[in-house]
Amino acid sequence: MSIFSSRRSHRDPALAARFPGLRGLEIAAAAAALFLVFAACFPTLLAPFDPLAINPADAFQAPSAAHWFGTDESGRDIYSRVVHGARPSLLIGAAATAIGLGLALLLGTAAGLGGRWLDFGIGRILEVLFALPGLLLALVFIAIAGPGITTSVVAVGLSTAPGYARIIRGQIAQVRSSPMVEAAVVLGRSPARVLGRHILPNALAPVFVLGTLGLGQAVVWASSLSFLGLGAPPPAAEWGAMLAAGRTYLGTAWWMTLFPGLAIVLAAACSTVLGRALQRRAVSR
Amino acid sequence: MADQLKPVRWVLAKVLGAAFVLWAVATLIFFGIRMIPGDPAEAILGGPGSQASPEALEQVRRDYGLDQPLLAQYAAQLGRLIRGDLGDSYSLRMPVADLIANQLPGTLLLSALSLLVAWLLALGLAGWSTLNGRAAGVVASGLEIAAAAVPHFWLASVLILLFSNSLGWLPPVNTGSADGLILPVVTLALPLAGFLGQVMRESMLAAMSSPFALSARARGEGESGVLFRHALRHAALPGIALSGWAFGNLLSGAVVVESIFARPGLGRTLLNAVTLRDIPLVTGVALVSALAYVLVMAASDVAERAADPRLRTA
Amino acid sequence: MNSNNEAVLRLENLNVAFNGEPAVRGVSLEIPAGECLALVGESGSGKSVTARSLIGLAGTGAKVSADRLELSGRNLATLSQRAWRHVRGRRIGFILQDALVSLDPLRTIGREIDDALRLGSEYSRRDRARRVLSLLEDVGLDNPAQRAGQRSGELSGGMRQRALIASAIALDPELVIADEPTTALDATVQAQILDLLAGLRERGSAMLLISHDLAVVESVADRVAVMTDGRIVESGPAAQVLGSPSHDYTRKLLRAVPADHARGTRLSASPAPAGQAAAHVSGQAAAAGVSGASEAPAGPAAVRQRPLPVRVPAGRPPAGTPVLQAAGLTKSFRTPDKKPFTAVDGVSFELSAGETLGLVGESGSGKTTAARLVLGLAEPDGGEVRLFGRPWSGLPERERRSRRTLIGAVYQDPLSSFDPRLTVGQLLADALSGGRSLNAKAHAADTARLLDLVGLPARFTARGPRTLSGGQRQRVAIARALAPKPKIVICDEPASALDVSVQAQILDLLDDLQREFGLSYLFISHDLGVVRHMSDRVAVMQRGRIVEQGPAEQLFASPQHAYTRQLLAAAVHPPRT
Repeated sequence: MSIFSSRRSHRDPALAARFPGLRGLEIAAAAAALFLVFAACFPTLLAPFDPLAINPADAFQAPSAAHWFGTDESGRDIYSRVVHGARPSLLIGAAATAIGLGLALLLGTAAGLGGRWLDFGIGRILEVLFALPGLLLALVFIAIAGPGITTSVVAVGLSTAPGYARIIRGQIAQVRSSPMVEAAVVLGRSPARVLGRHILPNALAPVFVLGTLGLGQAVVWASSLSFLGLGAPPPAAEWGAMLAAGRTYLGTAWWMTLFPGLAIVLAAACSTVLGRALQRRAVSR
Repeated sequence: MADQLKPVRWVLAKVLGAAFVLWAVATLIFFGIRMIPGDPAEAILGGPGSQASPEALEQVRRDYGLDQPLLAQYAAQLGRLIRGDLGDSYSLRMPVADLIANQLPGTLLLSALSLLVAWLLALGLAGWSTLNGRAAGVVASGLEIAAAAVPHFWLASVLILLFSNSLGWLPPVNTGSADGLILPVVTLALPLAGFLGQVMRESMLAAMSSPFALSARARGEGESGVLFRHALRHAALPGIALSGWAFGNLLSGAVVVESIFARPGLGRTLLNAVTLRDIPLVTGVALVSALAYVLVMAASDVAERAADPRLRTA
Repeated sequence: MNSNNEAVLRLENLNVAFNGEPAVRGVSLEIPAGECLALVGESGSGKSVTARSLIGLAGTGAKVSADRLELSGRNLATLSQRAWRHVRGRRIGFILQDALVSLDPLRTIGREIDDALRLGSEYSRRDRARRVLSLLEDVGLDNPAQRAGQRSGELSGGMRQRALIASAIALDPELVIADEPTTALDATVQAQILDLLAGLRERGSAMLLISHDLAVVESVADRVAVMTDGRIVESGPAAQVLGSPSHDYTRKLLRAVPADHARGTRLSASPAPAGQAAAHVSGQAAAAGVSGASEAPAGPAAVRQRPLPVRVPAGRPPAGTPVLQAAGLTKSFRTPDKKPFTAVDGVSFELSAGETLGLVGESGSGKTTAARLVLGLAEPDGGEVRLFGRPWSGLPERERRSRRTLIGAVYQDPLSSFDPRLTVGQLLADALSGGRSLNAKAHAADTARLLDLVGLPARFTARGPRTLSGGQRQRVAIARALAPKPKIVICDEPASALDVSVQAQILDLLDDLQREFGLSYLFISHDLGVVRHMSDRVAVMQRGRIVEQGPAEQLFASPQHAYTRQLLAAAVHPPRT
C-alpha cells in the first residue's frame, strides 16, 4: 500500500481565509480591549501615581522598577499617564465614531431609501466629502471652527462619515433588491412592514461591525490631531498630546514617545481584530 | 457612432463632476467662515487672538469686499477662483498659487514613491504567505493588522529613534538628499501596505482556490506558476481599485509626515495654514488637493477597466 | 471486469479521507483505451474527489491511499509533486464544469491553451500558436484566430466549454477526465458538447465521465459505475446498469428521473410504511450527502390523512375555470449598454383551476420575466394579467395587496428568499399571520401542521434555514407559500438546484399538495423531463415568445414547431427503465 499525500498540491485558501488560525489573536485582542476599557473606567486602580503631579526632581527618568515607562520632563510617571490617557483617548475616538456613524446613517438610509434624486444628491455630497480625504477634511474643518477637543472630535467624525455612508447606502440598496424582499411583496406585505421587518434590520446589522472596525481609526486620527497641536492641549494625559510633548525630547527620552504610541497601536489593532471577528461571525451565521 | 461618443461623454461627466466638487469645496469654506461668530476679516487673518494689525484688517475688508452684501462677496470670490486667482497668503505674504506650485511636486513625489513601496510590500507579503501555508498566512495577517494600526506620527518617531538616533544610518530630517526620502516613504508606505495587503492577500487566496487555478494545476502548472501567471493579477485588481483611496490616505498622511521630517510639501503647508488659520491658503490647498484626488480617482477608474476585462463587457 | 493489458487507467482500492472523515472508500476502476466509463452519483457521493485523486489534486488535508494507481502500466501512486506535474496535462487531461470559472477570466483563451502546450511539450512559440488555432478548430469554434484573443467572459457558455476542452486535450492525453462537463449548459448546447466528447473517445483516449445526470451518461458511456457514500455500489455495461439495475440505489436513482414517468406517477420511494422508508434511507447512509434522515419523504397516504392546517374554503373553483389569464404580455429592458431588449414578447396563456401549465425554455428565453409579470413584481409594457377574471397587472400595489394571498411562489433558491435573521418557525408565523406576528409559539400548532404537510418534523421550527439541506429548505419554502391558502402557486425552477433523488421528493410533494388543495401551478423549468412529468399543458418559450402550447402528451408526441422539435432532439435520451 502506498500513500501519496497531496499536502502541498492544493491548499484550500477559502478555508484559510475563514479560519486563519487567528483565534488566539482574537482572544488576545478581546483581553487587551477589556484591559483598556477597565483602564478607562478605573484608572486609579491600575495607576500608582497621579498623572498630573509635577515632580521636577524625577524628570526624564528612564524606565525602571519604580517608573515602568519612565518619567517625562516634569517628572510625571508615564505609565500612570498612559493608563489615565485611556479614558480621554477612547472617549474621543468613540464620540467621533458615533458622530460619523450617526451622520452616515442619516445620509446612507436617506440615499438608499429615497428616490433617485435624493440618492443622486446625497451621492454628490459624499463625493465632495471624499475629495478631502482623511485628515484633510478634519483640518479644513478645524481651520474654520478653531482648534480644541470638541472641534477635533467633530472633525474626525466628519471625515469618517462618507465612508460609512457609502457602505450603509450600498447595504440598503442590496437588501432592497434581494429575493427576500420580493418574497415578502409576493406574500402581500406593505412597504412599511417590508422596510421595518426586513430591509432595515438586515441592512443595518453591520453598523455595529463598522463601528468596531472604525473606532481604532478614529482613535488614531484624533490622536494625530492632538499630536499636531490641534486637539487635546498638553498637559492633558491624552495619548496624542503625550506624544506631542515627547517629540521635543525624542533624542533624549525615547520612552516618552514609545509607550503612549504603543497604547494607540494596541487600541487600533484590537478594534481591527475584534471588528473582523464580528464580521466573520455575521457572515457565517 | 454611439461607441465613439462614449469616451467623450465619460470625460465630460468627469470634468463636470470635478468642477462641481471644486465649487462645493470653495462654497463650503466661504460660508463656513462667515457662519463663525465674530469679524470675518479677523477670521480670515488667523481668527480671534491673532492680533492682526488694524491696517491688515482694513486691507482684508477692502480686498474681500467685506462691506458688500454677502452674495456679492461670494460672487466676487467665485469669479476670482474661476480666473485661477487663489488670493494671497497673509501669513507668508505670497500669492497662494505660487506657494502651492512650489510645494506640490514634493508631495506628489513622496506619495508616488510611497504608493509604489506599499504595493510591492503588500504583494510580496501576499505572495510569500500564499506559497508557505497556513502559518505564514497567520503571520502575514498579524503583520498587516499591526501595520494598519500604526499611526504615522508614531511610526515616524520610532523610525527616527531607530535609524537616526541609534544607528545613525539615515538623516532624521529632510536634507535635500535622496536618503532623506527613505524614512518618510517608509512611514507612509507601511500602514498603507497593511491596508492594501489585507485585500490583496484575500483576493490572491480566492484566486488560488478558484476552479481556474485547479484547471491550471490539472494542466501541469506548479504552485508558483499558478501564483505568478494567474493569482497575481487577481490580487492586483483590488489594489488598483483602491489606488484612488490610497492616494487620499497618502495625502492625509503627508500632513503629519512632512511636518515631522521637515519636508516642504502641501501637507506641511496646510498644517501651518490651519495652525495660523490662514484661510486663503487653506482654501487654496483644499482646492488643489481635491482636484488632485478627483484626477487620481478618474485615473484609477481607467486603470481598473484596463486591468479587468469583465468591467468592460459587463 | 475484463482485465486485459490494454487498460489505460487501473485503480484499485482508492481511499480518501478529509480530517478522518472518509470521502472515498475502496473504489476500483479500470478503463481500456477508447472507452468511456461514467461515474454517476449525487452530490457528496465522492465522485469528484475520486476524479481529483487521479491527478494528485484531492485537496487540502486529504489522506489518499490506493493499492494500485497505474496509467498505461506506469505506477502513479508514488510520484513526487514534481513528477505529477509531468503527468497532468500531458498524459491526463482534466475538464471541469462551468468554464466561466474554470478559465482565468483575466487571460485570453489562447493563452490558457498555450499554457498547456508550453508546460507539457517542447514546441516552439510559433508552433504553439499554430497548434492553439488548430485545437480551437478541432473543438468546433468558428474563427479561431479571433477566439484565441478573447476571454472567457466574452464567449457563450458552449464556446467556453469548448475552449476548456481544447486546453485539456492539447497534448493528446491517454486519459481524459471530465467532471460534470455539461452541467451548466442549455439542452441544445449540452448535446453538442457531448458529441464533441464522444468524438474524443474515438481518437483513442480513455475517458472518465463524472456526472449526476443519468441521461447524459447514457448517451456517451460504454460502462457505468454508480457511486454513493464514497463507494461504488454497482458497475457494468451502460445498457445493463441503466436497463436492468441490480442495486437498490441505482433503481432509486432511475426512478427519480422524471422524464419517462407519466404525470401523476411517483418518482421518490414508494409509499412504504414510515419505519421501512427510514430504514431504507439510513441503509444508504444519507445517500444524497446533504440529506439527513429527516429528508425521508412522508408517504402521501400519511399526508392525506392529516388534518389540513388551514381549511380550504368550500368554494373551490370548479376544475376548468380559468384562474389566471395572461394576454399579449410584453416587457422590454435596457441592456447595460443601453440597447433595448424585449424579454417577453406578446405572451398569452391561461391557467385553469387545479391544472399545471408548464413553461419550458432555455436560459434567457423570458420564462422568469413572465413569472415576475404574473406575480406583479414587474409591470408589463403591454398586455394584461387577470386573476380570477379581475384585473391584476397595472393596478397600484395597494389594491393588489389584499388579493396577494391568492397567489404564492416557490423559487429556485429558497435560501435567498428567506430573511436570514428568522428561524423556520418565525418565517412560517410571519406567513400565517399575514405579517403581523413573528411569534412562532403563538402559531405553534399551525406551524407544526404546515411542516408536517411538507414532510418535516415540528422540531424544525427552531432551526435557522441555513442549517437545513437544500431539499429541506425547499420544503420550508413550499410550506411558507401555502400558509396564506393560495389557489395558484408559481414554481420557478423549484427543483433545479437539487440532486435527482431530492428533486424527485420535491416534485412528488408538489404533486400531492396540488391534489390535496386543488392548486393551480405555473411550473417553470428548463428541464423538459421535469416539465413533462409535472404538467397538464405545456408552453414552449423561445426568445420571449411562446412558440407552441398544448396538452403535454400531445405536444411531446407530435411537436409542431421547429424549435420544440430541436429541444426534444437535443434533450439527451432518458434511460430506459
